[in-house]
Amino acid sequence: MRIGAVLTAIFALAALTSVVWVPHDTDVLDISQRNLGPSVLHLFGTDHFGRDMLSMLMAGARTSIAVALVAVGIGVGLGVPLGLLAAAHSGGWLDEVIMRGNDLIFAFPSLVIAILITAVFGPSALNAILAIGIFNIPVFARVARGGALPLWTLDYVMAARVAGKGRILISAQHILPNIANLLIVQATIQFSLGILAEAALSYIGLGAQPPTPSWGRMLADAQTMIYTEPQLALLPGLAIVFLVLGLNLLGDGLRDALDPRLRRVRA
Amino acid sequence: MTRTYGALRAVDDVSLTLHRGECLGLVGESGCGKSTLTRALLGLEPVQAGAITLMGKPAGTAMTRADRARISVVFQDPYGSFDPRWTVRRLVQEPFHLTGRPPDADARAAQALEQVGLSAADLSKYPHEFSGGQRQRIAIARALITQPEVVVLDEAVSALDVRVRAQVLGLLADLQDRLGLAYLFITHDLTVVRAVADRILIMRAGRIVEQGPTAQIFDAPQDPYTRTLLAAAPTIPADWRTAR
Repeated sequence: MRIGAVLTAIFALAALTSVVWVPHDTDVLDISQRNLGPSVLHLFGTDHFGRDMLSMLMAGARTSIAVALVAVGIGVGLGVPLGLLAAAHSGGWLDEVIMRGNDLIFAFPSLVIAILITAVFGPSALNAILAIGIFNIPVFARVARGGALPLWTLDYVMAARVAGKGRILISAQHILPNIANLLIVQATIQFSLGILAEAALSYIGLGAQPPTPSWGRMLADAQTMIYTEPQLALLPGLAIVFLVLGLNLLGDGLRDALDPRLRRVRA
Repeated sequence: MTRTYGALRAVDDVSLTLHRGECLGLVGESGCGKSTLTRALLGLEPVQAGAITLMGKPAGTAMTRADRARISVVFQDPYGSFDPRWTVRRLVQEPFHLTGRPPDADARAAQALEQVGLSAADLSKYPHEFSGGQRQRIAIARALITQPEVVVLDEAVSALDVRVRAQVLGLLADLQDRLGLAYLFITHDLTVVRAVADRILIMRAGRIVEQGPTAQIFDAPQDPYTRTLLAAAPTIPADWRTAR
């Protein structure tokens, strides 16, 4: 978990820094400086347009993280209330409608539909966010409902009902705080999947558009030079691998740390 | 009153009256319809036939918020009864949702805790910091906070070991004397109600098979099912009951 947290923190810090400062402007092309090796001036060298690779990676981290973060936000913001609502009306028609709607979305291959959405509405970071975010909704709805259902049978929920509280108030006050750890873990996992999806979309040119740097497009641009300038493909590839790895380790660690049963086993 | 689930009639034509300040024992084994009856009385589930009245007014699901504050409940499970993320202060004050939070809510919560033998300092603690017996005391404090007239004790002492059970029973009897409460004491264990109940109803498969004053049920049981229950009951040593 510590390794995951450190890896995630490094990328988050790089992305945050890139908002205010990058070593070199990523919008300025300088062909005379292209494909340079690592140096003090260009720590990771430069790409085929003479842009600083470190700056590109930092700005790319910002794009990836922003897209994945908002996509997870859409999933949490819509999926969790839907899941709680379904659990609160478990067995009723509302539960049926919500969960069958979920199944419907799950029935579609997410990346293909994301490609379809961005192809129809035009490639942009915003459309990539929407395309990835939509498929996060049923994931969070299921996790929320699954976590909430066993809680509804507990006496403290009965006590809240005796105290005259309605289903929505009980969901907000008793259910949501007690499934928060499940949701945090799921959010970490969906975040890493979002990074991958964003990279995939921009790799095929349907994510953030130039000149916004993006890891996926850096990979795509570098693939024709893979034998002559392998570092141009290697660096964004490694960035994706390490960030996703870091998030997965963090998610696993959080799950162990937040699950009281696993905690007891370790102690 | 009657309540059916599909083809199953969980509560079948049960009629009972709980008098002011009385402790009525309702005894029956698992699955006899006690829980369904409880939920109906608390207004959590509708009844299909019959009526529930509280002080002459229609009750059950028809209760107003103010009426609901006059009937409260203590559940069996001392662990599942409390949201683990809430402090005792918040837990005990939850029934104020019915009445609106009074300005002296904290003082009343402290008073409720002291009534059940805990201290005001326990208000800021979490449920996991208490033992099973202490948790049932917190549950009783929560049930008393709105100053109800009727308390439903749904297997309230069944999960406690025998000595703690005797202490909580003593506390309940004491509170009843001081506050003039009416108890509906629901249990599967006849010996538990012997010490506290004025009258006892024996329930089986959704029906009342026998009812009468406590002494009569124990000394001259009429129904063969009551005799089976009596024969199966263990005895509590007399000197444990007074222990605190």
